[in-house]
Amino acid sequence: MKALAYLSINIFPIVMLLIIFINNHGKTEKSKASAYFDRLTLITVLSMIVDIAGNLAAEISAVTPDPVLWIFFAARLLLSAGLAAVWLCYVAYRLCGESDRRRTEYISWFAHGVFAASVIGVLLAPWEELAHYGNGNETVLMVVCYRIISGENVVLILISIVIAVFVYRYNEIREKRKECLYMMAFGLIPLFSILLENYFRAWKLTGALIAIAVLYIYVNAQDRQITTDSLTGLNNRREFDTYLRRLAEQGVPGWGMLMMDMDDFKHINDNLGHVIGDEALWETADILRRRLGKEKAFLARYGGDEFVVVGMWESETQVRRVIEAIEEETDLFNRSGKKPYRLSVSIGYALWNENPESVEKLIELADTRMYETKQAKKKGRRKS
Amino acid sequence: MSAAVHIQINIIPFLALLIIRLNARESLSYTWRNRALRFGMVLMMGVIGTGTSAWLLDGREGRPARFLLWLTNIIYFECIVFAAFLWYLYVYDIVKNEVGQRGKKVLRPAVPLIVFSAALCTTPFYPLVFDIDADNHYVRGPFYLLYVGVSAFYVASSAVLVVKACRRETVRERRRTYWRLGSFAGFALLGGIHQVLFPGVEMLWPLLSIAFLIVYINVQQEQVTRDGLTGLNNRRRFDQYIRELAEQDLTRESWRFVILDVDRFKAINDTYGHVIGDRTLKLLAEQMKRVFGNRRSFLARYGGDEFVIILNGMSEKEAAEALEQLRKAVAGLHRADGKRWNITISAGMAAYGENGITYIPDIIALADERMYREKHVHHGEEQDG
Repeated sequence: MKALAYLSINIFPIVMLLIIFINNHGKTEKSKASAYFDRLTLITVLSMIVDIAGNLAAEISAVTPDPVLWIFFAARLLLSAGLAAVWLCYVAYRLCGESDRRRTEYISWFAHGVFAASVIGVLLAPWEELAHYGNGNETVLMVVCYRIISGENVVLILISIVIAVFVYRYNEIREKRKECLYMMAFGLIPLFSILLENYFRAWKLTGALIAIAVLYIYVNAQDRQITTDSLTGLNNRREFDTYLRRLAEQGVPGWGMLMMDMDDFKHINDNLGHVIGDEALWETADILRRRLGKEKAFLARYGGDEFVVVGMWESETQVRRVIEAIEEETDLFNRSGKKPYRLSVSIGYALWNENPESVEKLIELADTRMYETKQAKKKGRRKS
Repeated sequence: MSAAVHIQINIIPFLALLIIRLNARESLSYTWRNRALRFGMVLMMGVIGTGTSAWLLDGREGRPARFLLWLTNIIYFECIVFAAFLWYLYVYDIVKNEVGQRGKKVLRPAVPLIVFSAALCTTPFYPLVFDIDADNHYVRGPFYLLYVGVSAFYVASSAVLVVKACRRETVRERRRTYWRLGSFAGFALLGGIHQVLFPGVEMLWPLLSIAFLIVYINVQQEQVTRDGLTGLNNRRRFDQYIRELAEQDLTRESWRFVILDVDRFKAINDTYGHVIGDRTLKLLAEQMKRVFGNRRSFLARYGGDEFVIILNGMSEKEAAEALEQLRKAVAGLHRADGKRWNITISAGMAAYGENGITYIPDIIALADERMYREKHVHHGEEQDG
């Protein structure tokens, strides 16, 4: 494909990646996954620019000196190797960075090792051959080396897909599974695209499609920041309000909500400190996630030490079962004794079937019932 | 330029627009402005889709091809002009800060659009804007320039609005917003020129898609830094702001940090319910915006019922007076839903460099301390009175 046509195709994705990089760099949350995403954006855009420049240089190779051709070709190889390595690290840290720190670090070391091998391979290859690679005069050794480096990239991407498959199978939380599917798809896209390019010389979309994947990840990460509570990972108050409003507007029948409040949060915060307090909040959120994450329940942090759950419940019996499940899970947590505090929650419910006048009244009803439960508990405690 | 290249140039912006359009469903709140932006993205996708289809079908034989050529070209032109019109309304809404347009305000700027749409509807019967000749080739009609003129008119008018607003605006962040909006016209101009100079390669739509992307990413960024309930900056933005301040030289002007919070907020929530609690916070935020919004200030909701005001360039007297104004505006009995309740706030202020402190978190801690002292005084007064 002529270099100019290639440039026209890639101008949009390159500018798009630059915009994403400029907006995202330095503003990321302090997680390894975000750092790797930042690097991913940068390496993708660099590799696309070098790719275009290299194409241009190769087209006018009669005029371009060999060292320049070598620089471009070597840079393209290394950047694509770097891209595969960073992609694997990103997927690993994103999907299992929190749950399995040690294994994720092993994977990261492996990716770095493969990349280092590519660097050594490129530097050791006879540079005149490398500079003119593609013009038909390559030795068998050269072709083998090139295939090995390309093969390494494919292997790294395949490993990322395998990781996504594994995490999908051993995880039951809907959100996590969706993430795994997207990571799988994004891994498959460059693989298919490379295959396509080998058969249809007119199609060179690999870089551009990776850029689209980067856009998707970025825009969704921003979305998550807007809609989730950063401490607990549940939906935030804004999302909850929007969700209820939508349910009410669409006239969905048979749903209800739980209003849940931690009984001793102030006590934990004052006596054990803010850090332990935050941890207790996270543990409470995790109890909800563990028990209700598989079903179609909407979990949110309402604010402070209050949580809400919205589910498709039609009767009081259904709701009571859920409340019991939550209390059971809380009990389990307390009995495991892993933490220096005990969690205790007061839960109130309200059903849309009870025909409250508005969404606000529904929340009020759940609130009131929760307050009653709380008071009853206090009396019970005083008695015993 | 081959078909394969043409498709590849256009498919990536199309996918990008699709991604941000699908994402906008969740990210963006349901204001008129955001609906206009969302619909504009759909129109852009329509433009790219029909434009590419028309280009591919051009010159093909047969009646179905002819029919499709008419259809795609008509949709293509209508989408472009409608998108330009929508862009004008969007910019107008942001610049004039109004909540949605109704009635007369939409009708007058819509006149060029209506005129063009009429010409477009007549085109299949009498080729005004374009024609599909006997060989199924697209040919420009005598009124082709109407399409260029009307679209350019809307884009240029939006640029004029932005330039005028930028001159009047002093807040740096709003000026940046206006620059970004204005750049849309710049992209359109660039793309138009490119199209004239290199008629084979269409860069206009990818360039405009970039403009859309910039607008969307910035709208999203705003949402990330805004507190949903009060509209002030949220805790994330506050932390970021403090980090930015730490890198600046704060000795040249007077910087003051105010921490304030609502007295006995938990009691209000427990006694009157969350709805009243929310209303209290919204009320306070509104008054904060009213009293401090025009001056050089940074307003943020720190969390729960705690707020921060960072003032720049005010003397201690001015700051104290403004705080008094805020207190008076918020204090007193409030009524809603048949409930009545009192709002009082406690505030503590500390200046940069006071007591020799130049480490910002320490200054904030000092303001916090003073706020707590005032809270205890209020608490004491309540118990006595």
